[in-house]
Amino acid sequence: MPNKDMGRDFYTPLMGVFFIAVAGITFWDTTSYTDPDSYVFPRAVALVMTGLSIALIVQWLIVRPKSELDLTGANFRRIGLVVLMLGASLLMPWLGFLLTGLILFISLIFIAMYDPWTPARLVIYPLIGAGMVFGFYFIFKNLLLVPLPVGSLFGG
Amino acid sequence: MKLLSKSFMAIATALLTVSAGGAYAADYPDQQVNYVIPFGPGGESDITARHQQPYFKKLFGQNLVISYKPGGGGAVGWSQLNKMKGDGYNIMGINLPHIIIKPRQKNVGFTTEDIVGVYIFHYTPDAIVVKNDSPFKTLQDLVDFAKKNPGQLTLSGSGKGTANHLAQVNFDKQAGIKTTYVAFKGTGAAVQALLGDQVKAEWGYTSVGAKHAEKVRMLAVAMDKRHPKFPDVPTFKELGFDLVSGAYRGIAVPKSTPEDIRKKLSDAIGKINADPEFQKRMINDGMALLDVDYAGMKAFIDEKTKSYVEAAKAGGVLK
Amino acid sequence: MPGTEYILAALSPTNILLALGGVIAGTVIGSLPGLTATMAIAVLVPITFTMDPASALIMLGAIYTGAVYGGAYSAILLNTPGTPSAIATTLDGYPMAKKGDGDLAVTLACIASVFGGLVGAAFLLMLAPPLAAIALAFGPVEYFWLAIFGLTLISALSEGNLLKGLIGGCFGMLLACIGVAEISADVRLTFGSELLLGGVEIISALIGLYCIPVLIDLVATPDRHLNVSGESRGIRLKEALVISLKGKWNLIRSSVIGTVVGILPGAGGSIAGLVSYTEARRASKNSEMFGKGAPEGIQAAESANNATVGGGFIPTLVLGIPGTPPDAVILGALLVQGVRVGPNLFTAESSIVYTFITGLFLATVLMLPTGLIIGRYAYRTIISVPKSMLVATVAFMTMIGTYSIRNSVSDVFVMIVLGIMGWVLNRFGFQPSPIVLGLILSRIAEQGFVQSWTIASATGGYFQMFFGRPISLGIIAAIILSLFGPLLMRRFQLKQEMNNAE
Repeated sequence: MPNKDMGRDFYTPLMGVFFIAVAGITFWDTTSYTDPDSYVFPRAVALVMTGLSIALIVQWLIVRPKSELDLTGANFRRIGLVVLMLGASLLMPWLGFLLTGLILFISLIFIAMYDPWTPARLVIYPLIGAGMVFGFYFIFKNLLLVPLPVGSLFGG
Repeated sequence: MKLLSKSFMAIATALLTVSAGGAYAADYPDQQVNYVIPFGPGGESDITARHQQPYFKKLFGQNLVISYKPGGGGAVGWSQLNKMKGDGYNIMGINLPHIIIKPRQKNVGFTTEDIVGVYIFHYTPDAIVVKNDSPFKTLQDLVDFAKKNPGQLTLSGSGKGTANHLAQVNFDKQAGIKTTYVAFKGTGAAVQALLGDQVKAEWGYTSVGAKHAEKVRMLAVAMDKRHPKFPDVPTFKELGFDLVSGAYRGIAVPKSTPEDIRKKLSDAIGKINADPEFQKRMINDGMALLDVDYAGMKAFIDEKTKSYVEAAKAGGVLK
Repeated sequence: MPGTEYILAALSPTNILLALGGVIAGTVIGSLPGLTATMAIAVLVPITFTMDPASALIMLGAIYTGAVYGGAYSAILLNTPGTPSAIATTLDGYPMAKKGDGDLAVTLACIASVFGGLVGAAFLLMLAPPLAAIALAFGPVEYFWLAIFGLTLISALSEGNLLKGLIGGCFGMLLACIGVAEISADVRLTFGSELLLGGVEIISALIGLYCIPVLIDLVATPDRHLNVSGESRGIRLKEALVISLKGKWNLIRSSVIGTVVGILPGAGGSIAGLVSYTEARRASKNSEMFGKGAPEGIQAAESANNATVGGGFIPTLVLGIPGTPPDAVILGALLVQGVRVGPNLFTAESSIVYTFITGLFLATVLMLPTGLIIGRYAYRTIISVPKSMLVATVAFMTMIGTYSIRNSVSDVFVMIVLGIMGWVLNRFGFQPSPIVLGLILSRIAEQGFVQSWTIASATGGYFQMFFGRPISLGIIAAIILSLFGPLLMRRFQLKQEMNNAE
């Protein structure tokens, strides 16, 4: 449940500044284009976005809203999930799809586990995980003909 | 038991093939060849590759397995070409003018010189296409209109910095006219605009004339000689314009591919091109066959680079 | 009009089996984010060359129909559109499932899809040649206004703060600019990186922005993924039928919108769903329930996206211009089979086309039982799988699915980064839907605008181009209505309430 009493909303103006910065970077990038057709649209959108962001900050100054930021929950698990997934996408070209998939799947089971670990679960869950990875690997590779990465460490 | 020994045999054979997968040109190709198309399925690059597929199997007994790596107008695929294994069993489609223009604009992960082309097997010639009921009966009608109304003649075409666009730039220069080129995403959308009267004419391809034969006419085609499927349509050359161009398609290999394999592959593609049945299919789709083999590749690319870069600069695509 | 012989030909046992197999395969493929109908059809096309042409087409059409429907499962149960067509389905489907009505939502989606599919196929059968004219009447400027119309949905989608919604929409539009520009000649916003060269692929962005945040929150608490009430209620078919009957005007309107949008090449199921969603919301008496689990939202989105199947075949078969990417692949298969597309296809001896359309009807009808059964199974699975397995499986599938779209590891990385960004932005009050809307509509808006401007510069009539064409004016009127309609309504209601109070 969101905690309604967390004081002032401090992040909205920061986000406004962030989006103004995004618009600025976009504008800077458009200066390198050779074709006018390429910059008309991004420039127009960047301008509109800047205007909206300024309006957002002004609105914040007038309304002074309360914070609605909700960060309850197990943040370490959140970070674990994200790091694992990013890591897997970076490792995939080296380790190949199958190995990365296995590592990812089985570690995620551990990160997302809320039920108590029993010896049976300790054996069965990773086995099911491995089965899923192999199953999908087989379907994608052989039936859907997706060239899944082999991994440069294995000569792919 | 039987199953076990069978699977053991299978693994053993697989291991053997992998270790033998090196570069033995003598019996190339002795396993399936992976053919990566740097565009999505359904496009002309895909269709022509699919035309090659059965003849490769017929002539060399191995499968040609097509897969797609689309993105960035082909650039994503080409930027990864040299990271593939160079054993002759990994090949990729290449398209001109894409591989010449794109790397000269910005860093797209490859340069034209990075790409080892072994064969250019066909091109789809540029053509000016109008609707059947268009007042332009000949190319001269169109030029006359453009001379009287500078800038008012609108022509749709596929993308910018593309074969269509560069042909427009070249033609305008030679004819001394100024037309307005309206870029669309792909040939399908450009034809849609033509049929819907959003534009007066289209810089398209001979394949458009083949596909929409009942609804459109071609005023001229950018070929050396008339296209066998359209004997009544004159070439630009006949009409006094030096314009032979189109979307060229070929096959490239990773840099690490040995010299003798490159030559063998080049010969193999050439043999497919020589197959009369294959030729018939390609011509029926409106394509034109071309034979630029591995030996002639460098000269061909150099010559095309010169003319494309010049047109691209004139067209405001390159600085 | 077709004779009975075509219908009989289509109803041969082989064809019925092919249609059934196709629908099942399509539904499963569509429900897995990242696997698209285009891909499934492209894989199967070579096989169809060895088959009788009509049977081959029936199978391909069945896969296509099934896949468009299958996208609804993951949209409802995982907040992730399995195909872009199902974006609008997530808006109310997932809230409904969260509340514990996932089973009902799946059944509603199935009925709506079958209805929409039948309407689309009926238009294809009876009015294809005249309707194909719509595809040609839509010029660049009409596409531009259509995209702007889609963007007005942002005002409806931004809960809380409209400014944040609009900023999110702009951000999405800029994301779509990344990579090699489609119709102009530049490489944009890649900052020299090869990672961004291919741009933000729309399906991977959908997976990232919708699914990853769900995973991030799923892993953080021991709560169940979806609420479930104690007793099993089957597929709740009766309940769903009553709701569907009540929403018949919504279904009809959405199916017609879906067919028309389907006829427009390049627009497709996602836009059909969004447009009919907007319209359903505007017409509804309880529009404030939209986005919080309104059945009408699901009905509008699902009937519209399945109607695009029939609609999309209209320009494909009549003009030879494919309405959607799967149509392009099917068109290729048709040409190889020796079928010459064109208006004559519907008048001359064209047993293939009529057999094919009958097959499409057949597949759509078969979708009802198969969809309900698969839907029940999918729902059961999602609610009964232990959380740790669910998280791991879904995370793994987002990765393999994203990779398969373009066989690209970079897309997987971009997908996850977008997901993290979406989660963070959502915490700060920027919802994912406006961003996604901007992302999808950006290219259509940009291309429509640049092309209209270029053509107008040749003819000299900028005003005439943007505000002087009848279809454009119609769309502009719809834009004004959708922006200010609710405002006027509210003012009107307020006045009435005040009058009543006096």
